[in-house]
Amino acid sequence: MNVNLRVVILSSFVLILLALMIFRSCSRPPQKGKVVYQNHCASCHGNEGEGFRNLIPPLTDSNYLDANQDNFACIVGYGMDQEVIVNGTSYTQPMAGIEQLTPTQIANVANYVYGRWSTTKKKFTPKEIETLLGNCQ
Amino acid sequence: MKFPQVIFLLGTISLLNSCIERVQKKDKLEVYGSTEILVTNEHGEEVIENVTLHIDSFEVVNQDSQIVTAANFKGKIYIVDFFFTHCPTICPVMTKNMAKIYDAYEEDNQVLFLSHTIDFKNDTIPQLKKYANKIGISSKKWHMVYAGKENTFDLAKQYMVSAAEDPNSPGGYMHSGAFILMDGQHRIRGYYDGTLEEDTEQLIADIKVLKKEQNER
Repeated sequence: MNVNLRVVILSSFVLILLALMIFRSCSRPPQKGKVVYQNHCASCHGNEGEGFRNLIPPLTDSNYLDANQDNFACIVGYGMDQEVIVNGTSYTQPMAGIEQLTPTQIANVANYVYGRWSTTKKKFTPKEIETLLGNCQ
Repeated sequence: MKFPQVIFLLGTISLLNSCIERVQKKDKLEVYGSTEILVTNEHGEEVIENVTLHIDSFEVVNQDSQIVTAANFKGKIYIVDFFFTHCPTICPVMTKNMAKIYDAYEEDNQVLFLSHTIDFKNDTIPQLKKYANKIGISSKKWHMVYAGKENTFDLAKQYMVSAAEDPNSPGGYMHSGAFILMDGQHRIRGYYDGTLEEDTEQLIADIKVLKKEQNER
């Protein structure tokens, strides 16, 4: 085979691979948030945000996420101890806040959750999260 | 890379993979629990024996207001844990993992579940019933029980796990997240971290070992 042709085939293969990698990393929800999610959320809410029977609400209800953009940081940081209706089902199990998370980590996990399951795909900055945390009731 | 090298690499990877098998295969399960020295007199000779204590005298009330005693678990295989329904931290995960074991042995009458609440103020029988319904479990198989403070903490001591009131813990109670595997003679045969998926898988596998042992007796 012609050497030049081999070089062309090989380099175009590498290029396609690179393009694919870049495309994938951009279209996927932020990975830092995924780590926070798996360490602090997934054991109850599930890897796919599916929740658990009628005990733990799923995180895949985009209506709930869209309506609670301002509450998300407070729920993660300080927990929740009241009834929530998600996908038409009532959930009453209290959730503990994860106090050790920094605003940056909360922003990462919020971006991960909203990137995967909301319709608005809202993006949070750490600064925004800090303000939201300051307004928690 | 040449073809034989690729094969070698793939072989090494698959070998390594098989080494980090998550569930450990066991032939026999240990017996745990506190022991007592028993001295008997046989034909004028003193025989000293180390006997494992059996946790075989308790009476508790389940989510259907039915009295459940050790006799209900005789000859069975059962898993014991301590929890409370308002627990915001580890209990939902424990319940989720316990439900996984429940699902694995749903049709098997030999396998039962016994969850003790340690919140004696809030976890009334109707509250336990509500919690059980949310998970969709049968009270014939999974008993969520109330035994009162003294009895429950005493039982926790017998199972050698911690359970106590603690104002500094989220929800007001401190307790172990252990799943305790019990045999048909009310002896402890294994401890597992109920908050971990790996331990849950191990427990599902170990029940099979215990079933084999009990069915051979």
